[in-house]
Amino acid sequence: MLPGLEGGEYAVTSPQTTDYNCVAWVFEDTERWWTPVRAVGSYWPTGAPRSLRVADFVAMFRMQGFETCDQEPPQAGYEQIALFAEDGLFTHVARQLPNGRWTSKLGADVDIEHDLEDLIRRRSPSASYRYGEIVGYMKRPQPSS
Amino acid sequence: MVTEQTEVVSEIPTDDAALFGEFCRLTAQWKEETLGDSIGLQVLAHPAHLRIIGMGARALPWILRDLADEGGQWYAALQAITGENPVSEEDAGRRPKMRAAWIELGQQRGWID
Repeated sequence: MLPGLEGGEYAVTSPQTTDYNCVAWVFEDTERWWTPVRAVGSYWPTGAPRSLRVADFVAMFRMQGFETCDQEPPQAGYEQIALFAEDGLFTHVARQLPNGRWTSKLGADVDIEHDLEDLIRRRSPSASYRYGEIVGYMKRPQPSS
Repeated sequence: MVTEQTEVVSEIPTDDAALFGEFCRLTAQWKEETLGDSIGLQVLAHPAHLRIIGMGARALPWILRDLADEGGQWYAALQAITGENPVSEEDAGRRPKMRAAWIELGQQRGWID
């Protein structure tokens, strides 16, 4: 049971790994840790702003073809993401699956399939599992379509 | 005005067995308390991580063994302790290749078997 997710209807869908994080998982990149933090062992797209502000993450996702949108049901040929933040700073991003549920890589922990409500304001004993509120949605055409 | 410092700061053990015990305790604490960190900022700044870096070269074999066995976000610590970076520019950020490069360097230098 993941701390703070007690009672959630989630399913673990990967082993635990430090090879990638939630932002990488948006792009199904399982080898890199995408972060604006200038750190050895991390990746951030060239030219993307380096800060934890939500607006700068939105800018980075725009560079990858996403546009802001309202929450929408799954749409063939498109992929949708939900951005989480606390106090204006990015904390997490989840990607919608074709079945309408969401997939998240939880930091250095596992991937889970979940409902968005499972990650909102969780009362986790660990600060690193508190992802705050959803602050926006973005979508883009699936790269292969 | 300077006040008298009363906080007791524990010293890094000089005995290898005690130091290894401290390394294991700090590593477990670091991993547990940063496991869900999506960005990696807490991982870098966590006091246990910084204290392990403070152990210096004596911690290298244990760090590399943990990296080989468990993965782990040891790249900043390895570079801070050794002053080296065996990862090619092409592989920078690709963690499976970074892990392999550090383990290979560790074997070349005799830090791990």
